[in-house]
Amino acid sequence: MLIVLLIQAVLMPLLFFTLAEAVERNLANAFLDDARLYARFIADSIDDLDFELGQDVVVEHLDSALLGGRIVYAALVHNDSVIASALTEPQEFDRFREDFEFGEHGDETYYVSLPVESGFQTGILHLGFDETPAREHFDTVRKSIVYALATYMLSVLIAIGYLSSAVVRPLKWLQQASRTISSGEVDKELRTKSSLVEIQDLTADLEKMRSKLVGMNAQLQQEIMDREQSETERRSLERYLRHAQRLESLGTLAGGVAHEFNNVLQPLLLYTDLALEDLPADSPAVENLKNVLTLANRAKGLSQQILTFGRQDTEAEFELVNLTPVVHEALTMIRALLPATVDIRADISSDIGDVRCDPAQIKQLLVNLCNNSFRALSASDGYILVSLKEVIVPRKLASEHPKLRDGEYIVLQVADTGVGMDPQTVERVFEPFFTTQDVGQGTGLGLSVVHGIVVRHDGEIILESELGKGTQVRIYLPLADEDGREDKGKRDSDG
Amino acid sequence: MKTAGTILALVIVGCLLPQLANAERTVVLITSDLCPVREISQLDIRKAYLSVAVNIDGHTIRPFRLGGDEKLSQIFYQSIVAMSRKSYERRALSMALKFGTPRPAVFEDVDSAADAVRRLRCSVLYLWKEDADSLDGVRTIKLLWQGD
Repeated sequence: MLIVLLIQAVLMPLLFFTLAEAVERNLANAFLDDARLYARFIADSIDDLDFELGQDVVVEHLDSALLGGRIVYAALVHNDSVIASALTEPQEFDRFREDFEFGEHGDETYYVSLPVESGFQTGILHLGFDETPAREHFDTVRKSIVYALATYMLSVLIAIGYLSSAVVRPLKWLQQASRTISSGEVDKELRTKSSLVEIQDLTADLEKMRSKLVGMNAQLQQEIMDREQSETERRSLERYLRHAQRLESLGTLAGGVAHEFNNVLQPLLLYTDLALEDLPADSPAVENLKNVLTLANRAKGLSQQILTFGRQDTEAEFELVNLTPVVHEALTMIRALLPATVDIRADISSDIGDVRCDPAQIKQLLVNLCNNSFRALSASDGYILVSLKEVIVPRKLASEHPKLRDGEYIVLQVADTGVGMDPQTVERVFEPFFTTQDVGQGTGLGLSVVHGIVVRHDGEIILESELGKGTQVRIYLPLADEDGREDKGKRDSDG
Repeated sequence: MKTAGTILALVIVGCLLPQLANAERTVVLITSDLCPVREISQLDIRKAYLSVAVNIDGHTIRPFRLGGDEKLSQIFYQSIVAMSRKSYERRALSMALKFGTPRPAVFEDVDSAADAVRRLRCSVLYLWKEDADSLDGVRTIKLLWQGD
C-alpha cells in the first residue's frame, strides 16, 4: 500500500504538469486562432478605406474593434503617422512589440501587425489583444485539474482503505489461519465476512482442507485409541491366561496329591474304625484311636477342599435353581456362624432368573467369601454386603474376561469395607494354601475352593481390592435359558 | 579635433546600431515576371494557401511555401492565413481533401522556390523582401507583412 501511495505521490505532479501543459497549449492555440482571425477581419474591413481622407472612418473602425473588449490597442501606421483609436490607453503605444506566441514578451497583450491597402497607399494595422481573460481561463483550468487530481487522489486513498479492509485484512487473517492450521490447531472453523468472491473461495478451500485434516486427525486418534485398547486388552488377557494356567496347574497338582492322600486316608479311617470296634470301651487305646479318627476326618475334609479347587470332586449335583432362597439360607447360616457384632447387609433381588448350579457348593462359596470378609473386618468397624442381582454384562467387561460373554448373568457379590489387599496379594489370592493369616489361623484354601466352584459352574470371578478401602468379589453365573440350559448358544455365537 | 571627430563617429554608430538591429523587415508575395496577374487580394491569397482554387483573369494561382525560416513561418500563419500553425495544417488538409487541390508545396531554400516560381507561371511565393529583390525573373505583387 505504501508503494502505491509513493507512486501516486510521484505521478501526481507529473500528471498535473502534463495535463496543464496540454490544456494550456490547446487554449493558446485557440487564442491565437481567434486573435489572428479577428485581426484579419478588422484588417479586411479597413482595406480600401482612404487613410488620409477617411481618417474618421478608420478611427470608427478601430473604436469599434476596441469596444468589443478583447482588443486593448488598435492603430494604423501610415506614412510615419499613427491613426489610433481614442479608446486606446496611451501607454500601449510604447509597448507594441509584435508577438507570434501566446504570452510572448510577458506584457499581457498579444500584439499583431497586418498590412492594409487602399489604392496605392499601404498601412500597417497594429492590434493588441488582451491576454488576461485567457490567462484567467488557464488558471481556472489549472484549478480544475488540481481539483480533479485531488478527487482522484482521494478516491485512490479510499480505494486503498477499502482494499486494505476488504482484501489485505482477510488475506492476513487467512495467512494467520494457515499458520495456525500448520501448527496443528485445526479445531477452529474458518469463516470470512469478506464480500470478495475470491477471498470467499480461498477461505472455503482452506476450510475444506482443515475439515479433511480434522477428519484425518480424528481417524488417526481413533486408530491410536483402538490400538491402545487392543494392546491393553491383549495384556489383560495374557495376565488372565497366565493366572488361569497357574491355577489350573496348581489345581491339577493339588488334585493329584489330594487323590493319593485320600487313598491313604480311606484305609486309615477304615482300619481305625475296625480297631475301635474291636477294642473294649475302657481300653486306654480307644481315646488315642478316636483322636486318630478325628484328625483323619479333618485331613479328608482338606483333601475334599483341594479336590473342589481342582474340580476333581465328583459329588457336585447340578440343578436348575433360583439362587435367591439359596443365598438367604446361606446368609442365615453365616449370621449364626459369625459373631453377632459383624454387620452383614444384604441386597438380594428376588426377580432373577434361574441358574444351573449345585446349591450346596454355592452356599459353601458364600460362606467362604463371608468368612474371608469377616477376617478382613476384624481389625476395623466395617460391614459385609452380600448382593444378588441379574445383570447384562457389557461388551467391555466381557472383552477383559474371556469366560464372560456380553449377555445376561446372575451376579453374587460379597463386598467388605475391610483392610483390603495390595495388588501382589490379589494376584495370588486364589492359589491353594496361600494365606495372609498367621500360622494356624487359616488353611489358605477358602478362595481356592471358591475359584474351583465358580470354574466348575462355568462362571467368572472378579476380585477388586484396595488397601484400606476393602474388597469386592463378584461371582458371575450364566443365566439358564428357558429349557434350563445355560445360555451357551449366545455365548458361542459371540465368541 | 581628430579625437572629437572619432568620438562623434562612435556616438553616431552607437545611436544607429539599435536602429539597425531593430530595422523593419518586410515580407512580400512574388510571382513570375511572365504571370499577367498584377494584383491579388488578401482574401485570394488566403484561399490559395488553404488549397482553394483561385482563378484571376483566367489564370490559376499556385501557392508555394518557404520552410526553414521559423520567423517567416510565424508571419505566414499570423498575417497571411490568420490562424495558428495547428489550425492551418488541419484546415489545409481538410480543404485539400474537400476540393481535391494539392496542398501548397514547401521549399526549404529560396533558390529552389524561386526556380519553381519561374517555371510555373502564376505561382506565388512569400519571402523576405531583401531575398525577393535579389531574384531575377520574379516580381513582387503584394506586401504581406512589415515589422521589426
